[in-house]
Amino acid sequence: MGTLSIQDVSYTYKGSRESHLAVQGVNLTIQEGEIVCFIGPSGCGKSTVLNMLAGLFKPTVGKIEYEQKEITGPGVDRGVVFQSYSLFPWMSAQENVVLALEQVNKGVSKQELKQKAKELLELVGLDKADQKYPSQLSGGMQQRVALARMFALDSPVFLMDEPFGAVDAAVRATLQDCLIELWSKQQKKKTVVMVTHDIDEAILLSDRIVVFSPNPGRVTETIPVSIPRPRSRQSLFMSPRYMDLRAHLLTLLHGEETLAWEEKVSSL
Amino acid sequence: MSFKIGLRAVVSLVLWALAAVFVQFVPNSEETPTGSLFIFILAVIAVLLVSFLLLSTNPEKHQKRQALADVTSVFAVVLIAWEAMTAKWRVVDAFIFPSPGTVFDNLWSDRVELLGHIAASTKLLITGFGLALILGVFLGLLAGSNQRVQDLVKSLANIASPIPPIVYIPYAITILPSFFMSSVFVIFLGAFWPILINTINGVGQIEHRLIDSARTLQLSPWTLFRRVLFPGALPGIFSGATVGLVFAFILLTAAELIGGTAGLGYYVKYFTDFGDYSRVVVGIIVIGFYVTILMTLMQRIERYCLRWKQR
Repeated sequence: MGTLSIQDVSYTYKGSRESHLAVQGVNLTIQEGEIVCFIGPSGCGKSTVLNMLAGLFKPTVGKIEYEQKEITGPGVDRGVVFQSYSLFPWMSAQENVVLALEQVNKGVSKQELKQKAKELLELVGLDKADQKYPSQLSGGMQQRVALARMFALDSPVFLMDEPFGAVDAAVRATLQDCLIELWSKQQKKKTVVMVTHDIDEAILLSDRIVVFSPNPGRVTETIPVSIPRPRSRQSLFMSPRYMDLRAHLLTLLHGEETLAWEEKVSSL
Repeated sequence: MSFKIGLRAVVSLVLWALAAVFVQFVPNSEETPTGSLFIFILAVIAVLLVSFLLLSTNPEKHQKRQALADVTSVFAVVLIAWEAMTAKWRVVDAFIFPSPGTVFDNLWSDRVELLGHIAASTKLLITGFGLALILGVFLGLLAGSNQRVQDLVKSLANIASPIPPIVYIPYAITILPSFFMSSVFVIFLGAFWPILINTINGVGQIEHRLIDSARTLQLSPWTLFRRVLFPGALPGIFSGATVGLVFAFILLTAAELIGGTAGLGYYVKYFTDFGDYSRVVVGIIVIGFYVTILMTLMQRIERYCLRWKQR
């Protein structure tokens, strides 16, 4: 089965003078087709864990398995979108998507790939921008292209590092809708792991929310979000279950911060 | 569509008209040809007028038009002063300071021969610079993606690149079988180091998230090289190539001055030896135009290749 399993993983950044323990003893299993959000204050190691899932970083201690096989490097079975700089600026939107398509459709003619890229770009609502370079697109449009490229890989796992963090609230909402729409259209549901610092985004999208806390980065709580899909923003924000969840997450995140602040003050 | 060509353009045109009147109607102090110079100035005025009119229809080209007007105004003033000091009132020695009329006549009568010299220089330049570009970019991309190669190449560059390649010229002519090979060698050396170093820096300046992005797509090494490292390093490659081209041209003319039998540098050297200074000035002017065209061409290519950077 397509399970992602993080087993007792720690990660230490090695600097030239001192090293820094970024992630300590994380255990987590993510089921196939699940949407999981990592949330927590900055420096809590949530992005580090995502980078390890992507195979960009290697765990210092412990191991990460996908389908019972250890992850040793990046692969096209895991599509990745970053907050920015996912797209190659010297390629047009279409060329960016075609490059991803080429990696997983060996032997298919360029013409067909171009056609497929055009369709994918239409899916994310960019029918007229396929010849534009990323610098000619707004931040929100760039992330749409990045989504299209991730879907082009058609990988069973999607990893996203604050994908909508750099765009304003209105654009963020449409991008979230875009992602959920594409996700729900697939017959075989993709596993999605997303790093976010937006509580509402986490509740709206996830099946489970994993809360991280800093110094050193570790998982403090895993919260299932048992709100049925499809979730509409209006009804969700009114529902008592949402309110409770939000309040709980706020105390968890805010509480940590206040605690850290109080420690700092008292140590002065 | 209105043809408002602007004050500065008018100033330039008036100055050139003054030059024409001055050349043609003020009597010469000696027998110097002015007839073809007059026609040349009229041609310049015609070209300028057309350029100003064409540029005036596009408001975005306003700055370009102003620059053209200013540059051509300076040229007109220089031409008038030069004509006044030589052909008209002979303030300076006629042997070492030829009049513009003589220079222009020689330029015209040597035009076929000059084209031959331009071809000879271009052949050397393209070979030497081309080799430096291919090898510099290739090694630069390699060194940019491999720390060990990069450390080695950078130490070598620190030792070798400060030696002015000009000092190799006489020795290169001695040890290499032909003048062609020795000048290609020094031109190559002049262009190689700046291209190599700037290519390495170009790779270093690629946003590391883009490299991560490439890794997650599992690109093959060759695809990574061709589709990511090379285009990503292009801004660096172009700044290296521009500096490299300047060095290459300096070394080209230096080599031709020292040991050539053809080429623009040789043309200047040959007539210096004969004391035919009007032709020396012809050579200098042609070299000026040649370099200007070369650099403009380079800028055009750069702008096209880096069009993705513009907003």
